[in-house]
Amino acid sequence: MKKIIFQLTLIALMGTTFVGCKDALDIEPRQSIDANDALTSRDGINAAVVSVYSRFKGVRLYGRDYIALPEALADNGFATNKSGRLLNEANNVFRAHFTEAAWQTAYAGINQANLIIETVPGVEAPGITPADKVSWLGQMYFLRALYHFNLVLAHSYIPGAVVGANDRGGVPLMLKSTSTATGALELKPSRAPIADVYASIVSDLEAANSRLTVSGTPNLANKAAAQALLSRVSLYRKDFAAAKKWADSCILLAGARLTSGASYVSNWRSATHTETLFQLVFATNAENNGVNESLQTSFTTLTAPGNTTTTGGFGDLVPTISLLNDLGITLVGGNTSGNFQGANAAIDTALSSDDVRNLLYEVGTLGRGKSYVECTKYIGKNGFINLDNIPVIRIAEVFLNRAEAMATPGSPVFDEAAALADLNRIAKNRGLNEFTLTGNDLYEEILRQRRIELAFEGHRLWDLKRLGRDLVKSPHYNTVAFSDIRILAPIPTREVDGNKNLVQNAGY
Amino acid sequence: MRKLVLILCGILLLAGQLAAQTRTVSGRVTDATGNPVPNASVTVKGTRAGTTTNATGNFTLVLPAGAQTLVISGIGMTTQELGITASNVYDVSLVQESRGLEEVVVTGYQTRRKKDEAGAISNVSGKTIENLPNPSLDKALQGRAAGVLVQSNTGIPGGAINVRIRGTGSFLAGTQPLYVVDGVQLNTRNDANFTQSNPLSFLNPNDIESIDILKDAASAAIYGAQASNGVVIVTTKKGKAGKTRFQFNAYWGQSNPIQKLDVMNSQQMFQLRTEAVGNTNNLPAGDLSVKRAVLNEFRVPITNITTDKAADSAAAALPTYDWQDEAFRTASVQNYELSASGGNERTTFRISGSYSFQEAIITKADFTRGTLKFDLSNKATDKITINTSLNLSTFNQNVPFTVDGSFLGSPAFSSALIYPFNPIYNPDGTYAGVPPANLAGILNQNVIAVNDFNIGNNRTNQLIGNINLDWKFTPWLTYRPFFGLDYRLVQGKLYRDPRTPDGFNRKGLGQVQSSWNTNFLTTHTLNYLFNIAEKHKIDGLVGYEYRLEDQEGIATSAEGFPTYQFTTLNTAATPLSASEFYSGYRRQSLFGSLNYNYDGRYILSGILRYDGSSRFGENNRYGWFPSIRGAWNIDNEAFMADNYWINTLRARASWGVTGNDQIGNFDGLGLYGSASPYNGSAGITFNQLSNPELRWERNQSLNLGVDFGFFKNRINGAVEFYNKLTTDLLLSQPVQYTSGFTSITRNVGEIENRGIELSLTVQPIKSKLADGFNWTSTFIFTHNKNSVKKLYVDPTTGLDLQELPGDPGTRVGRELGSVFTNRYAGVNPATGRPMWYDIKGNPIYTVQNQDRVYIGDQQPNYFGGFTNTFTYKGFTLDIFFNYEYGRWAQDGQINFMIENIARFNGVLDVWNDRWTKPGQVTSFPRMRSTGAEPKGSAAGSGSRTWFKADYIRLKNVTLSYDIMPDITRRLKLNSARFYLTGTNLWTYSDWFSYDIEFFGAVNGVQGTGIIPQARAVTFGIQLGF
Repeated sequence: MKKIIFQLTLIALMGTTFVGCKDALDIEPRQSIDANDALTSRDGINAAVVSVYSRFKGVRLYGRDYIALPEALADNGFATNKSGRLLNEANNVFRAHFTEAAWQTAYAGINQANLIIETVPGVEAPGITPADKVSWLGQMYFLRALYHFNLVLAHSYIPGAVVGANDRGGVPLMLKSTSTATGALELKPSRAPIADVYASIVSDLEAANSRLTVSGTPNLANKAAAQALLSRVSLYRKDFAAAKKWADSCILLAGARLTSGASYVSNWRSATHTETLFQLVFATNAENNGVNESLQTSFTTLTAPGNTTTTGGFGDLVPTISLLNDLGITLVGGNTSGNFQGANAAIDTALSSDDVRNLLYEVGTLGRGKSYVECTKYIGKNGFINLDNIPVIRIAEVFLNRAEAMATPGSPVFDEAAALADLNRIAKNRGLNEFTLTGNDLYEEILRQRRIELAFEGHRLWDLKRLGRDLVKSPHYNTVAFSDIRILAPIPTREVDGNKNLVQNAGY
Repeated sequence: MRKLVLILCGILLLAGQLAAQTRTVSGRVTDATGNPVPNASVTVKGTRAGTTTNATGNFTLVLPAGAQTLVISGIGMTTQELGITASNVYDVSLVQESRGLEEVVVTGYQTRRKKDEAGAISNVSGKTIENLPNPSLDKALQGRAAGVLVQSNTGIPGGAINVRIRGTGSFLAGTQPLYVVDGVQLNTRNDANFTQSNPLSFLNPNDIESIDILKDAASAAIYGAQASNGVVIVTTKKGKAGKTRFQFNAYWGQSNPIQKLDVMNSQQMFQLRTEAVGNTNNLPAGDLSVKRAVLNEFRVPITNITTDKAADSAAAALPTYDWQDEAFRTASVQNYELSASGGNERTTFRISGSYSFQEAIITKADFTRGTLKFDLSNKATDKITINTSLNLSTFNQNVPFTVDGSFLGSPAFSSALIYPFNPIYNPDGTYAGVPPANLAGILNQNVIAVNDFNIGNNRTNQLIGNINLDWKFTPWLTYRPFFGLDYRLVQGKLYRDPRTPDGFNRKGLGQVQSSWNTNFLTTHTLNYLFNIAEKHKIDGLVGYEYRLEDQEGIATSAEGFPTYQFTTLNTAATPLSASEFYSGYRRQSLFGSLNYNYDGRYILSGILRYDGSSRFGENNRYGWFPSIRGAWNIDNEAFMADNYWINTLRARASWGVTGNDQIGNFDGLGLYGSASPYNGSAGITFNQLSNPELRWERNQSLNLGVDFGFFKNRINGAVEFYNKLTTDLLLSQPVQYTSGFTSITRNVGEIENRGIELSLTVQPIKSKLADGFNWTSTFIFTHNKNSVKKLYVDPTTGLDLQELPGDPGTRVGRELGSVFTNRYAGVNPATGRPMWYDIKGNPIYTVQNQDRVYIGDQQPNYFGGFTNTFTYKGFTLDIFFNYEYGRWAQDGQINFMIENIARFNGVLDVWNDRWTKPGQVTSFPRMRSTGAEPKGSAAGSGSRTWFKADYIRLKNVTLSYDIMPDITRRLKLNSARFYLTGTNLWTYSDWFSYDIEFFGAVNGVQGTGIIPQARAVTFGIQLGF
């Protein structure tokens, strides 16, 4: 019996070496940190700020969709069916539109921005200066505005061009963060009125403008970019006086960045275009968006300008006949539907215009079947195939914003002469003769130059949509009337299913 | 001691008979595999004369006068009678008794007689699965045990297997059972980046003695929070005392595709494509401009094609190449193993080594394994026994292009889809269409060349072993400390050759990964066993357990290699990425069981376990798992004693609670994790909200069972009814994306699985002679009904949610992962446009959310197996079918191949069934190059791509021949056997893709670019000496 007691004691001792340890279950993750500790240091906040930028690089946002879809859904892009991508968007197939993932990523970015905006004023830690705080807030207001702007563009009408029967309002306006499970579960936002969303975007951009400084690098939010974006948003919402005001101010800061002639083209071959006020930078090849959905593979089969012997990407989306016509590019055999689709492309240089912007369009390779004229604004200019910085706003647009604001009939800042001067500034720098136009001709030429200048930079759908114009897609596809529900992207089904306050767009 | 008594008795008997003896006979008793059966009783019928066999199975017996028949019996063996002839030598081979209830089962920390167990435990003997060409043991369970659903999700040898015990009881947490090999709880996660590497492949299935599957929660409760999906306990072969015995086993074979797909030829392809282009551009397919456009797509020079005639003859001249034929191969299977086993009364050992090689039928994927297993048991003193079991295993796999998915370079995906006019080889024998050139069409990679050029392999080294002690404190109390280790190192490499499209522009891409997993387990149990009075037996255990698991890994990649001959990363120009990974968890538990047995008639037992896991929220780290079981052995009652035809009859009932802890290691914490870098700086983002209430899923199950055996147990089996309710289900509860998050892991839902299991064994023909004709038939049947009972309360409305937002397949009252979509209405005969029914039953052209309806269930309602075994003389024929019924599935490969676009090849049905002219009634829409009609939905939407996946498959047929003992003895062998095995020989189903057995994720699409399973034939030889 004594022996048993001894043995049992032995076991008990062995057992307690394990059981006794209260921290037997303690283990810490190494790849993540506790959320409560994240935004308590300068490095921590800087790293969180980085993530608000980097989300924009994804292929559902500026990485592809924010750039390619406005071209494909409107009248600039023809889908070559080389990988099958963008085919449905170019055909305006029901539900082929901005995606659930874009919505999700954008709101995740907004929440991270809100977390930083709410934390920064009260944070005290070694190394954090008042200037840091102002800069962080300026950047977050800028990015929050940019996220909301892209969301409301995709899912809602633009003020002043609304089909009443289909209008279901703007998008949820998220100005407060979510940081707890309960908060997330109980959050059931509704769609803010369109006007409120735009007012908030303007107010965020103004807050950014007052905090940001003029900066040499367009990689981060800066004052000129905030003003440029203010001019765009104001133009879109038909606040022409504000559009002019912010354009004036921006041109004062950065107007000299406008390039001309050969320099304009060569700038598209370097990583950063001088005209760029804000861009999404791809610093290393590890950030490459890849062979399937990067902008380079989406728009061209070429790996380098002028080299048709090596096939790179798919070249899924190429300029339509109507864009070629506006660009002044004529195919050998003529810009007819049969020639465009039936024969390998060749540019008839004798019949093409002197616009230097045409030099950004080249015949692609035969490596994936019939060749087309392709856009080469994204051609691996960062030194690796499929790695391109993506301009979000350029100074050329600001001139066009101002010209349009002054040439639009009924504008409070209506001034045709000044508008013509802005138009000619662009024309002259692009190798065109100066225009002498007035009235509607002037207005339409400004829009046409805008189409040419900003082609394949993600503007076309918004420029048609804000003016209430149909998407005329002949001869390739059927025209989509402005009253058609396909003008608006659906709200993600999952989002509507889980939230009675959130109204789906008409027809979805 | 008992043995000594027996021997003395034998001597006494012998002495008593000496006077009357006429002669002495001798012989040897072996089991079916030729191993000796020690302690078998050999008696002379109708007399008291008898003896027992020694350790080598030999006996010598003095026959009394008039002796006519020898009766030979052994524990767990069928008793045999042998007529006494003039011969003085009698060799007998005993077969395993089919009376299942005398068997022992391993119940977790204990081995008990099956007759003393009241839970639902299935036992699969190692014999039934031996010599089948399956690299891993999980695959071998298919159709062998009621209630256990086994599905492959790839034909990669050593690939992942899906095992579900009694239905799916979880949305989010793991659904695979817990595997325990010789007491070591395994980690079965696939850690390979470039192929599938099933950790259960570490064990040569032929080293398995038996597999016990704890199915009901009451039995599994001893494993607490990890046992919700059932527990598979594997016991490997151990040494046996006696002269050292060797066994050699080898098999060789070949495997071939079960089927290839019937695809279109180039002319059919041309016609379809012209229809697609024509319909999209409102032109007739025969229009010259359309034909020219398509010929141009097909890379036929069209400059001189200016007439219809020229276009038609150009189309007619297109050649057709069979890419599938080139991509598939006849794969080989080889396996060699040698074992030695023996020892004395103090020490026993077994050593086994094996080498096995198996190829996939498409791509370079293969599997080469070497194993070394060592088991040792030593009686250090009368009270202390030391045991150890070590498994060293390495397997190397050449990797496929990808495991699955629609990758252009994947032969498994592309070979059936490449435009058939593309040549495979140039006239000079080199590959056609390799960079800088390519093939015509979207699938523009020469997959044969890609497969040839790319290299990649994955090596898995595993050490799984344990050391344990049996320390008998007293006859009724044993202390058993146990230390186990499951260590795994996975090293992978993948090289995209610069001669292939994916490596061409980047001049080669190299990726390497390495990950290692350390899983340590220690268990300390006190086992007790005593009889209070003669009729009251009590046994059980109390124990403590601690488990630690750390998983680490690194991966890196680089590009820009000097030439294709250089494949190591140090030669590359540009490093691309470097990454590291860490995760882990800890668990500690206390547990106990108490079994009470009254007179062998009434059995009552209880289990209680207290588990704590680091995976759960800080407020819910620990929990209790109780269970209770009872059984009534009716056949042991006095009133049954004289019953002639009922030999076994037991009623069992059990109730218990288990948990499921198979969730992420840090799911309960609020975390900032890594985000993409920007502008040269690293980013972090708030990516997980904290949930301190997170806890295990609670699975409460009730089991009622009856074991029966009639007519001398020639009809025997078991019926089980179960009701398994899983509550506190871990659910990724979706939150509005506008919150910045996608979901929160919470314990909210409920799922019920109810089912019936039947295993029935019948011996229609049973010979009295040892080598006579026997027929045994076993039928396994399972019906499982899964149903989601509850999701969660919507916080805004306060109502119970009926459907998971964004996941219509998860809804209350339906099976988990039910198919809920728009019902396809066929084609409008007037226009050829596809239609779907709206909720009122009217056909419309678009699929809208409000029109979705229930189509079916993605889990089989009925499944099981059917085995027939025939033996005669030395011959054994084993025929095994398995079946599934009531499952709906989508096949990703087929989804591509039934497109109406003709952008790549498709199944011949497209050609046969497509709509071509007004008035034609068909279900296949007209061709169109966008797939969707204007203002219509894509042709592949809704239920059009869902099919019934019912099947019966002739899974294995084995014919073996054991050479008669008298011949083997002359050859100085203990046993010799030849066998021929066929796998997947025949399938009955309507499925038209490569293989019906593919299993995808619950809501995933299965089968896209997956390497199909093969039909294999192997021949083998097994020698004992």
